[in-house]
Amino acid sequence: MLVLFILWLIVIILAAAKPKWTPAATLIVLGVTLGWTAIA
Amino acid sequence: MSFGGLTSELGAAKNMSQNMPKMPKAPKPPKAPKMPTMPGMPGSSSGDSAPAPDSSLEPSGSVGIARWLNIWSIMLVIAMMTMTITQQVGYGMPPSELGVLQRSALVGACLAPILNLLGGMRPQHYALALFAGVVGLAASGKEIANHAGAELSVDPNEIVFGRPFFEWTFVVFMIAVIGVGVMLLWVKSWMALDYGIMHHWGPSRTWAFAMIIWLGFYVVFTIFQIPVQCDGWVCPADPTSSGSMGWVFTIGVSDAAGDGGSISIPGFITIMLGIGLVSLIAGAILNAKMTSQKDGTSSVGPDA
Repeated sequence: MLVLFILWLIVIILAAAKPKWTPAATLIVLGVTLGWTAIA
Repeated sequence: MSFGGLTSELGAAKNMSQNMPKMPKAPKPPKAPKMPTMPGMPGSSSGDSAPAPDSSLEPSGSVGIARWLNIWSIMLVIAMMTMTITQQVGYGMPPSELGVLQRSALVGACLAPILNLLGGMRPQHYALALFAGVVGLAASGKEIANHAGAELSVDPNEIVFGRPFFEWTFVVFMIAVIGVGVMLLWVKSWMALDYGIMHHWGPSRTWAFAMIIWLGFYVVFTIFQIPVQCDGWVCPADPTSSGSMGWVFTIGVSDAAGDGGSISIPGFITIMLGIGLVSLIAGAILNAKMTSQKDGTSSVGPDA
């Protein structure tokens, strides 16, 4: 779960530095969250 | 040929042309269809002329309102997180597994307004909030269903304003999904040419930076909170609170007669709001710094 928020921190920094890659990164972390929700 | 003869011949030719049947006018060729313009492209401002990239002027009134709505949406998520973190830390209650996943989806939902603020209003940014809303509704809906099925129990400290956290989170995700739908229908709010707050100075830039910094702090806080409160990498499915509030600021007061009393403020809320104030100051400093840098290098746009 810790990893999720480390990833979010990276995505927020990415939003400021490389906005082009942010949507893809956001979708990946959201996918992980949804997968985890399914097995929780 | 004499001059008089030429005149009479010209006159006869003129009469002949007047008597001849007129040719029907050829129909005008149809106008070429206008090329559709993509949002954010030049000429897509639907009648509004976009100001210079470096300006304090909004591209249109609708974009200005949308910018503030995006800031307020991050503020709503921050308010939600402040409430849950305060309860969890203040009452010694670790976050639940599904609760952490809901917080993760809340951060994901904030990425849409963050991208809108930093890079300009785009419908594809709103799509991210829709995906995050669906993930959040799944996580909070599952927690509601598990509680309804008596698989999980509600701790008294989970209840805020009469309802448990996860129900409030469900409402917030519903608001997010409906709000995104409304914003997508409001075409004027994202059709105008917008470069985002990096090229637009003013109060909205200060608040936008403040909200992003505040949210970033909560993400960092969660990275520390999970191992400390959950004693590991994964939080318990059904946590219980350990009891009393951990931190209270007490201010002693007394009237003229000497009768004393005290006002207690939950300390953690004070700290959270203090972080918000620090974020706002940092946002103002960033805004001022970027504005002064621009003033030193370029003369485009009016003074801030």
